[in-house]
Amino acid sequence: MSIERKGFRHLTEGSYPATHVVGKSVDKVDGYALVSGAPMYTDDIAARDFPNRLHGKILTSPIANGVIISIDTSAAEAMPGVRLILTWKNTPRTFYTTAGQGWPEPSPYDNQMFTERVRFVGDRVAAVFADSKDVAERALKLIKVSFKEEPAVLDADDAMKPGAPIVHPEDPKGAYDAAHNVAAHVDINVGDVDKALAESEVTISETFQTHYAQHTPMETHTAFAYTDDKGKIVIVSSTQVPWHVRRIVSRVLDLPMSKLRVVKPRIGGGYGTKQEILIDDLVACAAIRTGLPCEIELTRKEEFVSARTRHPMKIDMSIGCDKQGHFRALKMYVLSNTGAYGSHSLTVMSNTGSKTLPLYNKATDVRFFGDAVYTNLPVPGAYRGYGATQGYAALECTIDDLAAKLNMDPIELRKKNMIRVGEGSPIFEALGEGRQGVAQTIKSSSLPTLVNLGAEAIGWMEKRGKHVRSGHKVRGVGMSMHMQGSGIPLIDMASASIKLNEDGSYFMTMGATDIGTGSDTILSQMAAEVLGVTMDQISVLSSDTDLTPFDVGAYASSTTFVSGGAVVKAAKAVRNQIFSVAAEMLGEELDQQLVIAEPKVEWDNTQADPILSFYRMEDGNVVSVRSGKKVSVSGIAYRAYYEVNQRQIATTQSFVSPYSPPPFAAHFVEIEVDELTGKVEVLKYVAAVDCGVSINPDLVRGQIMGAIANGIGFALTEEYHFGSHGNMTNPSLFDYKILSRRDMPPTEVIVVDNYEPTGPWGAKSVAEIGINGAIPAIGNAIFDATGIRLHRTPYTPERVLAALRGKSV
Amino acid sequence: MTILVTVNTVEHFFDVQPDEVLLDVLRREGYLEVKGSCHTGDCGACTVLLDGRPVASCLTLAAKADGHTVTTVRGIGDQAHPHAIQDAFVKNGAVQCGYCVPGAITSAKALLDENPDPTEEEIRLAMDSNYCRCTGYEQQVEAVLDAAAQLRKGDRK
Amino acid sequence: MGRITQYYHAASLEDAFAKAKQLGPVAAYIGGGVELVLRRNPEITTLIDLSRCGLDYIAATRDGIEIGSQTTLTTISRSADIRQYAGGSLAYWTGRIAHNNLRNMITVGGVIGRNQPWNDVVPHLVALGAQVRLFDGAERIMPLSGYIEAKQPGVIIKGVLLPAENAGSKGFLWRFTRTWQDISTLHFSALVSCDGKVMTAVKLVFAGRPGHATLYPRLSEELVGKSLSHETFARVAEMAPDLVEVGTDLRATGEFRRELVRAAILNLEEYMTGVAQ
Repeated sequence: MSIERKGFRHLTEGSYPATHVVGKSVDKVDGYALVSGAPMYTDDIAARDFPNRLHGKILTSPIANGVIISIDTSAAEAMPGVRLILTWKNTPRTFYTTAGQGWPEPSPYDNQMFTERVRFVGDRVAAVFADSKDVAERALKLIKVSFKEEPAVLDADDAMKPGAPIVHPEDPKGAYDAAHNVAAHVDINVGDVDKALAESEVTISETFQTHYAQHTPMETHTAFAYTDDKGKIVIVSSTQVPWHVRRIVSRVLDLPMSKLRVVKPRIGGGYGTKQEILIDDLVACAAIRTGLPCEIELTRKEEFVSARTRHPMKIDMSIGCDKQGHFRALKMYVLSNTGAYGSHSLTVMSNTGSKTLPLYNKATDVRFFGDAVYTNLPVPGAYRGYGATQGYAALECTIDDLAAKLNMDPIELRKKNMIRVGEGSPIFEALGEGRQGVAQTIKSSSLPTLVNLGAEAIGWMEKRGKHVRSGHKVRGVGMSMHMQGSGIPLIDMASASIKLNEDGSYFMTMGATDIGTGSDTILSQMAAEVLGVTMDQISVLSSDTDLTPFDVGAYASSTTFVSGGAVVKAAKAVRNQIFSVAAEMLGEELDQQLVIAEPKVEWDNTQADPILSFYRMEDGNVVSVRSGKKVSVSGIAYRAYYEVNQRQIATTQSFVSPYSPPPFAAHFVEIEVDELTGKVEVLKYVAAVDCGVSINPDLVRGQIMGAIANGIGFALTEEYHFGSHGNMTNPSLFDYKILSRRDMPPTEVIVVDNYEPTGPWGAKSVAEIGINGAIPAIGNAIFDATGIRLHRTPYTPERVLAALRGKSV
Repeated sequence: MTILVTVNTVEHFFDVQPDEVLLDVLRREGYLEVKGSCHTGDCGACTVLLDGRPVASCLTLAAKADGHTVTTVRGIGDQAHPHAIQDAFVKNGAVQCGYCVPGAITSAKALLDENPDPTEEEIRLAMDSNYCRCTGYEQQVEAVLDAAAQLRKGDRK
Repeated sequence: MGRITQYYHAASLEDAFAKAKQLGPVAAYIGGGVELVLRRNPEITTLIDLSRCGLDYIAATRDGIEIGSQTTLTTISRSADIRQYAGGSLAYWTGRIAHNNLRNMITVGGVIGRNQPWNDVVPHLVALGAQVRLFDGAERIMPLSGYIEAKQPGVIIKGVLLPAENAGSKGFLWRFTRTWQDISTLHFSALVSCDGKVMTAVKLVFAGRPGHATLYPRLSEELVGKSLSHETFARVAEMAPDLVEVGTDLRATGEFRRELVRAAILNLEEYMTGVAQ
């Protein structure tokens, strides 16, 4: 297959089985509802179904660190229309983490619904539920709080210093060393890195600092809860993790899971920020207390100040190699700022090493270590890229500087050291998501091709090192190389159920959480492919803790690979049941072992599913390979449901994998630096990506494009500004600038499919990897254009100009 | 105060407060296809057409719409009868989470009504109100080019 | 608690003025309304809407081009007359600043009335030598630069006049922003008249927080009578950062804005000479 049009090339390396739905850019199953604005996001449903619901507003801390001496809600309570006020005095004291991760949670239990202590400007103090937003907002102003302000730690560099204010004096469970503000710590050694560095012919050491930035989904965090006709509390939430919401809220509110249901409607963007339990506990608690439907919809300002951000990191990166550039030592130290709470502190930091260092597996001696420290600043969390973005900022810039030192082309240096098919890395095993990892061997990779195609598309040979000038502007090109993962091996589990309808169509339910990514669509494609039907024969319902089977949720680039694995298994199991009835109808023998055998997701490219030598699915029929006879699936369903040996044809299957095959990418960029103003303009961006088999090429392209847009914004314009007490001073889309349609540079996406034998229909992940390239590729292009290396992000005009003027930045 | 507004070709009297914005009134009256996001006129999610021109309904006082015509994305087309632009958004993979899409399509409609054969640059300019955090914009621009070509052929509305 | 309790659609200028006079400081005229919604003033209880007063017009006369105060930026950007005026700089930029929704809402009267320090239209109009037609029972005309120095409460801005004598000069606008939609970190506008290669009249305006649109006659003098040479502009580029008043906010430091002032002059050179520096 090969598609070529402006801005998108889709190529294939190697061969893989022919497919009829997989690999096609079919319409999104929810596409027409989305383009007509159907009421399907959380607030739409609340407004439609519960026009008289209560509206919640949260009072947040105006100080960075301190204790609430007193809180008087009487005046607010007396206000007409105010129905409930929640503070630390009347809410459960359970410690938990807001991070929506698997159990046991790797993030410290350093959060309570409300506490006497506030830890950052924006921390929760109280919540008001009232008849209208307006009343709730006015009531907030009537709550009298007096604080005893304490010194705050507003710089991660200061957090571990002796005498620094302690952010969590209560010593939360799961925090590494709260007495020194260390939420999480990691130290992984392979070989002896210091010895290897000392013995290396060439070494380089650099320090990079990344910044606070935010996901800014178009839909802010929104949730409402109501009591259903059986007394169950139903939370409808814009969440990426419905099951984690249920588990955590159940524990915090001491509510049995039988009394709690979490429903995920359509979600207006997540990118990680909705992998967090931020308001679900409040609306559920309020619905229980008031007996009325209760909603909270964060304002954009609240989203900026109180929701989640990306962990700023200071990274010390050292590389040791010989004169030919063969890596021997990689040493990375991370100081991660986890803000006031340790949400995702350990796992994001772990990924900073585990998703980056294995890319250069030729190094024999590797150390990855770091500290995630508490500060009195906004709280980071999961964000597309999940630590790898920060790690690649340091690693890929350092490699370019090393190439300069070696007088070598940076692409050549990377090619010498990059991981290839059949190889592993000791890091895979040494470092997982906050615990020991799982050994991995690369089974498929288009990386060498990606680098070549990307270089060609940007014009690397013609442009690199040429410093082409036009007046006060000078051009340069840069590149970077990446891998990510596909779910968390042996941790992430997903499941799917499929049942057959009498007309030969299917109903599929699954836990997989479509947050706009299109997972409902691509997972339907995978099922349709197995079942030999067109897309219209599959209807799908996803992410409802009562109505669909379990899934960890949409994170860690897991959905295509892990949830896809569950869907393929379920489709094969239901198909085999259908084959079994077909054999009955045709009077043919079929080994029942083949029917009941656990369906496999992973197959070698050349190896077929054994049952397919007896029957195959074709256009809604079962075709006997032996006799050539056909029976319709609809006929099979009618027989099974009404006539002979009646039984339901249905299955539930789950999938967990020891594999997490990394997608690969090479990003290339051409930029122009204005030497009068320091402004960096991206003239062209090229991303070459291997995500295994693209299940839906248009949606693959969309994932990559969106990640690039967000990545360029992160690299150039998006940045939190802080006032003197750690207060964010630009909490609006007026002052915090993401890229608009006119700011997006011409971008070419090159996808090189390569069948991944462990993936569903050969697929790997694609969601996160695209965000990791902008900072290093642009940084390396600035270096190519001007000879200056920026060690702080974002690359703002002011910072670039200062560097050009020879000031230290 | 009472205002008279024609929404998607139907005349309505709405009771509104003098300081209420059009977005809040439309959503209260059941036009849930108009999405709110930033409420400061920066993101374009709430875009509607006021007398055919795209505006931010979160910054437009409802009183200003008195005597005028408002078109929401549902007035352009719906699930059963999609407009060519809506079709093109689906066919070109221009929709991810979809939250920005009602606004983006509304801006595109105003553009194509005035300029049936826009350049890519004209599309980006006419739709520069509409932030999208998912798509990187490219496929949305292609969708509008595609829809414009369909509409010019005359076999689509 | 300040709230808008009354929305008044004025039927005419006289009606609007009388209403405002009767209510005093609790009343405000509303143009596009963008600023009124974004930055609500608790003192204001009544809005007087001018959209039915016949102020949405662009008229070319002997004196120049008059733009009614209720004309939106989009309408201005599409006017054939304004596209011809001073090289079309006003039309070009009113079609590109902010974003489309706002260009369709923001009126020229509104931006002048509010005169936020970050707006790009007022400084450019000042550079173009625009005048305002005011109504306070009677009509009068005064230079826009004078009007924004001494605002007159209650007076209605009826229209803006682009004087005919500047139609053949070259208008120039350079704005430095983080993204296209962003407000200007620094705004620079210029109007230059030439006789051959010699500049005969120059107006330079800088704006950018915390400062409002300000004319810099001292810098203009350095260009008048000089040839369009690199030396001319280079000298002004070196002088300007010390003369132009700039400050620090979250978008930039004053120090960086001074660099931008220099860059602005060199961009004007590039525009005037066609040679990139």
